[in-house]
This record gives sequence, C-alpha cells and structure tokens, in this order.
Amino acid sequence: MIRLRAFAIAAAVALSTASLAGCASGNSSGSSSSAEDGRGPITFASGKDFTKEMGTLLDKWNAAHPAEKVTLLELAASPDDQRTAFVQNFQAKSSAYDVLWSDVVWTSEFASHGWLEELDPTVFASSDIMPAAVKSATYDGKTWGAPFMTNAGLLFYRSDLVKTPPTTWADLFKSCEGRPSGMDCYAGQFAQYEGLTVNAAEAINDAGGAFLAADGKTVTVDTPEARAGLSVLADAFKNGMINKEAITYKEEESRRAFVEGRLMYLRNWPYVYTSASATDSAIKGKFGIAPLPGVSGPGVSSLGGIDLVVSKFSRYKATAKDFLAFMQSEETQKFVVSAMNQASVRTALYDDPDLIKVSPYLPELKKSLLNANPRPVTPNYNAVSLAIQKNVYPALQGSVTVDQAITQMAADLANAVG
Amino acid sequence: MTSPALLPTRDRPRRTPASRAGEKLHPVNEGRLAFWLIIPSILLLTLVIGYPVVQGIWRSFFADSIDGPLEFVGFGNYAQALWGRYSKEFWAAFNVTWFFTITTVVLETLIGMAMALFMNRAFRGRGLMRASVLVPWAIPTAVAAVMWRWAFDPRGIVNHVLGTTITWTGMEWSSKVAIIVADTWKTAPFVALLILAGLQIIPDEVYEAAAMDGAGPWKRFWHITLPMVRPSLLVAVLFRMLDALRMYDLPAIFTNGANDTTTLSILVVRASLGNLQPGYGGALSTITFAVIFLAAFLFVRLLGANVVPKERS
Amino acid sequence: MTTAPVRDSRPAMTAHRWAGQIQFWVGLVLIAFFCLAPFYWMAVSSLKSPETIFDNRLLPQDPSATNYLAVFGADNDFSLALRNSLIVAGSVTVLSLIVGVIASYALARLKFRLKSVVLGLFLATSMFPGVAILSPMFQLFADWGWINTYQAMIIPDVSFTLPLGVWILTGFFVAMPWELEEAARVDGCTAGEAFRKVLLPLAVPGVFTTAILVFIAAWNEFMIANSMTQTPSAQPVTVAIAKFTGVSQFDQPFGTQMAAGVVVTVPLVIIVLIFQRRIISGLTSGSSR
Repeated sequence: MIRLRAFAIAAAVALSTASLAGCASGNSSGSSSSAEDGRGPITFASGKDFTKEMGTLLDKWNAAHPAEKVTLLELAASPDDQRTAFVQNFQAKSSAYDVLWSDVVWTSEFASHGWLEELDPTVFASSDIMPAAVKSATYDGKTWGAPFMTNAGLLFYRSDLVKTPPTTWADLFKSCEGRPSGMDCYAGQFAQYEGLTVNAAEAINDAGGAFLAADGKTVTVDTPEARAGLSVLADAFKNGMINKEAITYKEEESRRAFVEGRLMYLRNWPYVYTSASATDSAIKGKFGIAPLPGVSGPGVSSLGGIDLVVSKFSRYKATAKDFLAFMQSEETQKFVVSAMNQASVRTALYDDPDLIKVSPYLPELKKSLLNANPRPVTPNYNAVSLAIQKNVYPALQGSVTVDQAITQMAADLANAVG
Repeated sequence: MTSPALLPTRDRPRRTPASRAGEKLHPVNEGRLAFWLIIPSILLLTLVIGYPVVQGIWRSFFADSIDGPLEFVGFGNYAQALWGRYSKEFWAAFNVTWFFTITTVVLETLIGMAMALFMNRAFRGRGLMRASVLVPWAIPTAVAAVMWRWAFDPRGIVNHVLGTTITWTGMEWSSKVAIIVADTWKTAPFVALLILAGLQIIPDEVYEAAAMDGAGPWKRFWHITLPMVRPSLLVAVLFRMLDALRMYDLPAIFTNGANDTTTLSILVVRASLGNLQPGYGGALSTITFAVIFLAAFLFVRLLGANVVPKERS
Repeated sequence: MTTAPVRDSRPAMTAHRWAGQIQFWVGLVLIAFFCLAPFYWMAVSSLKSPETIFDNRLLPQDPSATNYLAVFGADNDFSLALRNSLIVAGSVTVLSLIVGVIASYALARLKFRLKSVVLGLFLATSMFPGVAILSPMFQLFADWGWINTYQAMIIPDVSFTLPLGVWILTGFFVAMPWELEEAARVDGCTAGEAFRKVLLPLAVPGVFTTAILVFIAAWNEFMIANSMTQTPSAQPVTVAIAKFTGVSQFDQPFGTQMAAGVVVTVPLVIIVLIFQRRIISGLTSGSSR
C-alpha cells in the first residue's frame, strides 16, 4: 500500500513538473517576442531532399552567415505528411519551423489562416520570376511566398514513331492509329489523387473551362467547354486510346509504361527526361518532348512547384527573408537547374546555353511554363481538389457520364468553397 | 527480480465454477485498494485520450470559419453529416465501413481460430510455426500496405501468379477484394494469438476425459474448446471490430477512397487534416465514436463479452 | 479446399489416424503459405536491384544487397531509428504491462462498484478515430516542450495499448480459481505475495501474449511518432522508412522499403521465438502439449 501511494504521489509530481515545465517554455517563447523580426539561427523545414544537393546549398549560406545559420529539417517523403506536420505546427503556434517548403497549392491556404508572414512583392515577385509561379504565391492581392522551384507538364513522344509531335488531341489520337500492336497510345496520371486534378485541369482549362472564377468562390465548371475538355479524356478511355490500366497510374506507373516502351505519348513532369535517357532505358534516343496537346493547338499545363514561405511564428523573420532572397537569387537558381536538376523560377535561365546543354528540355519547358495555369487559388484547395478528383475518376472509368460528372462536380465544388 | 514459483501444469486446477467465498479483505479496504490500483490507468487515459476527445467534442459545436470568432452552431455540424449537405458521402462511408468490418472480422476470426488450433497441437517445429504466423502482424503496417499495393498493381505479382489482367485497384469489386485480402492477412494472426493464449490455459485432462467418453473432434471443439476459449475469442473479436470500424491505412493507400472504399476514418482525416474543418471533423469523429460505442455495447450485451462475470455476492 | 470431412479418430482406427495426420499437415502447410508467401515476396523484392525491381520471377535473379545498403545509408539514420524504436516499444511494453496488470487485478479480483463502467471506459478510449486525438495532443505536448522526446510517443502508445491489455489480462485473472489465492493465504502469503507467486505465473500466457501485441503495436506505430518527432534524434523506424526517397520526388523506393521491412520484422520474430520457447516451455513442462 505504501509503495502504491508513493507511486501515485510520484506520478502526480511528475505530472505537475511537466506542466511547470510547460509554463517555463511558454514564458520563454513569450519573452522572446522582443526578438521579433530579429536575426538568428533559423530552421528550414522541407520535404525529404531527393536531390541530395540541398546540403551544399545551405553550406554556402551558412559559410557567409555564421550567426544566422540555417538548419535543414527534412520531413516525410509524402506531401500529405509534410502538410500535416506544417499545419500542426502552425496550429500550435510553434516557432520550430522558420522557413517552410510549400507546395504551390498550399500557399493560399496557409496565408488565409494567417500563418504566413507577408512578403515584399518588389523583392520576391519581380518581373524576372515566372508569372504563373508568382500568381500561385499571391493570395488576396498580397505576396506570401517566394517561388523557388517550378514545374509544368510536358508531352513525351516516341520520336522514332512520330516525326513531328502533334499539337492537338485530334492529331495525337489520329497518329496512334497505326501504332505497333501491344503499344498504348496515351497516358497521364488518372488514379484518384492530386495528379488527377492536375490532368483534368489541363484538359478542362485548355478547352476553355474553369473550375472557379478568379474570386476563388464562384463555381464556373458547369459549362459546355468543361464538358468538352473532360470528354477528351473520357472518350480516350472508352475507345482504348488510353489503356484502362491507366486508371491506376500515378507519375511513376505512367513513367514506367513509357520508359519500357509500352506507350506512344506520355503526359508527365520534366523529371522523366533523366530516366528515359538513361543507359538502361528501352527508349534511349527514341523520344522527344513537346508542349501538351490541346483542342486547337498547344494545350495549357497545370503549374507545379515549390514556394518558400516564412512562418508568422518565426522568431527570426529578418534572417528568414534574407534566406528566401538567397534561395531565389540567380546564383542559387542556376544551382537548382544544374545540380538539383529542377526547373528554375527565373525566366532568363531557360535561355542560358550552358544550362540547356545539361537539360535539353528547357526551351520546351519554358513554352509550357509561360502558358501554364495555376490550379484554383483558394484557401479551400484541398476540398476543391477532392471534389474534382471524386467526379473525374468515375467519368474516366465510364461508370457515370461526363454530363453527370460535371453536374455533380459543380455541386461538390459549391460545398467545398461555401 | 525473484523468479515466481511456477506451478507444474499437472497441478493446475480445473476451471470449475469456484466457490467465491472466503475473501478476508474488508470490503471498504478492498474498494480503496481497487481505487489505487486503477487510478494510474485512469489518469493516463484521461490525459492522453480524454482531454483531446473532450476538446474535439467541444469544437464540434462550432462552425468552421477561417477567420473571425467561433460561432456556436449547436448540432449543425452533425446535421450536415447525417442529413445535410454531406449526408450522401457520410452514409456511403457508413455502409462501406460496416461492409469491411463484417467481412474482415468474420474472415479473420475463422482463419485466426484455425491457426490457433493448429498452433496449439504438439508437433515438431511448432515454435517455427508460431513465429511464422506472427510475421504478417509484425511487419509495419505502412510497409505491408506498400507491398500489397505493388502486388495488386496491374503488372504486379498477383496478376502474374493468377494469370489475370485485372486492374485490382481500378474497379469497385476488385478494390474491395484487395483491401479485404490485405487486411485479413495482416490481422488474422492477431486473432490467432489471442485465441491461442486462451487455449493454453485449458487443462489437458478435460480433453482426455472427453476423449475417453468417446467424443469426436467436432464434438470436443463445440462442447469443450469453444466454450473455454470464449472469453479470449470475444475479446479478440471485440477489439478487431473496434479497429476495423476505424479502418484507414489500406483504403487510403490502395485507392485513396476511390471505388466506394471511403471509410468513416477517411472522412474524418479529410475533414480534420485535409480540409482543416475542426468543427465538422470533430462532429464526424464523435459520430464515428457513437457508432462504434453502440456496436460494442450491443456486442457485449448480446454475446456477454464482458470479461468480468456477475459480481460475486 | 478439398479436405475430407473430419472424422472420429479413436486410436484403434489407424486408417483414420493417418487421414487425420495428413489433414493436419495439409492444414499446416496452408497456414504457413498464407502467412509467409507475401513475406517471401517482400524478401525477394528486397533483394532485387533497382533495374529488376518489377520483375515478377519468383526467384531473385542475381540477388543484390543494394537495397540493404541503401537502408543503412548515411542519410537515413536507420541504426539510430532502430535504437529509438527499441527504446520506445520496450518502454511502452513494460509500462503498459505494469499499469495494465495492476488495473486488471483490481478489476478481476477486488470488489468495488461501477466495475463494468470502468471496463467500458477502458474500451471507449479505443473508439475514437486516431486523428481526432492527434491535433489536440500535439498542441498539448508542444506547450509542454515534449516535441522530439521519447515520452511524447511512449505515453500515447501506452494509452492506446492499455485497453486491450486490460481486457485480456482481466479475462485471465477472472479465470483463475479463487481457491488458489485462498490456499496461498492460508499458507501465510499476503495478498500481494499470493498475487505475485500464484496468480501471475498462471497468467503468463496472457501476459506474454499481451506483451507481444503491445510491443508490436508500439513498434509499428506511425501516426503519433510522425507528428511528435521532427529530427532523427528521436524518430523511430516507421518514420525513418517514410523518409526514404527515390531518385525523384515521385519515385517510391519500393526495394528499399521492402528491405527495411525485412530488417525490422525478422529480429522481432526471432526475439519472440526465443522468449516464447523459454516462457511457454517453462510453464508447460511435463505437459503433453
């Protein structure tokens, strides 16, 4: 009995010390408000660094700023897990993350919740930066993120089978008619996930449709144009131009199909270029790149990429902003292209002959990027994207008609933004 | 630590309904002792689960606006799920959650029972057998789910072995089959382990006596084994049911909720983490809790799964 | 499955005995196949090089250790993660058993009011969707400065595993005959001694089963650990595996993940095998089972 009571007391003491410690840490973060907008060591929370080059970049900064060192914090590889970690830290008003790596579709959401520090557009949204990337970092007329990497979809085609790449859907499907047997015509990313929103948005935007009006609140998808756009993909599934297997494709599954020589045309991000030209690729030297096809001439790509944002709860915002400027600088951006093999946000770099030598897809990517469309900019992006995916997916499966899908999508979108 | 004196199994008493008189502790002291023995658990659960749950329930009565003060909406969030604008997806999720729960729990119980009966027999290599049954349960859930997703890829090993070309995660029936197969494989060992523990305390004499009376294997199973493992079996089924009603990982990784595989937990995650609707998310998790509570309550009442027998007088 | 109907297998009927034996071994093989075939595929996949990872041949052609080297590669901190997992899962198992055993003893052996309510309360804590608990708990622990600490994982894991443990153990203690305790008390044992020397040893199969289930649950926990750890210093293997990356942001390093799965599963099973032999055999020595 005595022992038990002792245990209970110990437990109570442990609990109360824990809460005391809580007070202490609360005080310290409170008193540090004098360091607001100050300078000091900061933490950069990013997705897991698949380029393995981020360390080199940060070393450069740290050597120049010994008193304002940046520590890299790599989060889980899955974007959903990254976003969850960010949101939890924001909700707890934690100062653990100073600079965050924000997928272009998250920036407006984070900004709308008041979690981000506003940035100076003359510094971070200058005319040297890709306009579509700047748009993705803008919410409510203000700048919330510094575009760091960008991305746009490209059409990969088999240059040994197709002389000049088609610019319209009609030409593309027509050129497939005499394709070698056992080869599929076209594929993109059609599993129910964010990639489906990207692909559907490209088809629908190109046909003149739009999910939401510029205000981000009015649903505008219930139009003949949007129906026509979605019909392109749905019909291609129906008549076998897209293999029904592609309903399970994400980026990698579709890349494999192309690199293994099972596909004439592939919609994917520029990263496919590297593996398609690798020595073990079945199509090495037999493929080319072009802008995406459209209804009448080149299509509209959805914009991907990463913005760097500064947390409202950061203690060293001045340092954080300087770091953003460093990451957006021409020197760093060159490194992004040459060493990290990612697409820069600086328009001028796409014409740099040295860089084109390393990444021959840059001129085509530039065309695609200049014509790219940010996905709907809305604080409810997650719900909006889900409303799109949920309705596009069965339309591609053929279990509902395009008409039904668009009507239901309009209703779901109204729920999502309302 | 002093090693406890092990009783030889032969001397283990039979589980006849014991006479439960003769406790010498004074009832008041007994109650107080019980209080001190249970309070650490209660404190822990209150801190870790009680506090967040209460906060979630409280938040479920307020609207989800991004800025501005909290607006009290009463049961508004609940109404949206049950008959309001989200009711279609809610009831679809409700149905599919029950579908998965019933199919997987039935399969896991049958397979788990078979596994336990086999593992309980004496044969060479029994230890290895027990270890191999443990393997599926021991593999981290995320790794197992990734393995199954690749296995069910249109070009994966499942189609290769079966000689089929099914797009497993691209159609409704096959998505559901894939999820049920992966879940059953992963958790049947859990059921098996719990039943095995129950089997291990059945004294051999009971079987020997029954065999001498000429009872066949089926008869012995129905009249001896089943009644005696019943407590363990019911605990296993009860906890499997609680878990299955909260199923999230497999449908999220296989189909992301497509093909009518959106479970209640997927809805909760979407609302709370995805769409940042703490109010509606809180309402959904409270409803999920109520559904599970009701199911568990009925289960315990109808099947007498309560592990504590009637109070001794 | 085409097994013959189970028949009476009295010793005299040798033919039936043989049939029974055959059925038994067929069943055994089926169960082993069911459990191990997917694991075998995991192990085979882990031995494939990145170039042949989607090869469906059932035997690894030209096995390669690439994936295993990648698991323990410099940027994964996997050895550290293994240590963290051992510390967390080990502490959870010990704590959960201690707290669970004393609570179950009270529930099974002592007389007090509202017993069913207490048991129901334990059960009810397993009824909320995990994510509903996650965000408020994160805020609480962040306020306490507990992020990146072991206790931020251990304490939630103990509470998640406690209900199952309490229900299993209570069931076992209830099944123990009262005469045993009485006999021990007559022999001069105190209530505590009677519990330790008589009841606990008898409940070993239950305690051991609970320990395995709790350890594995804690070992495999991801959601809490992923939120509560931000740096490799405290992160367990499940979080480390989620941080594996391929050559691009879209590439899932399937082979490396499978290798990691093998690395974390096999030692677990071996440990259980060793412990199980010692405890169960000690307990049932002299028994025919």
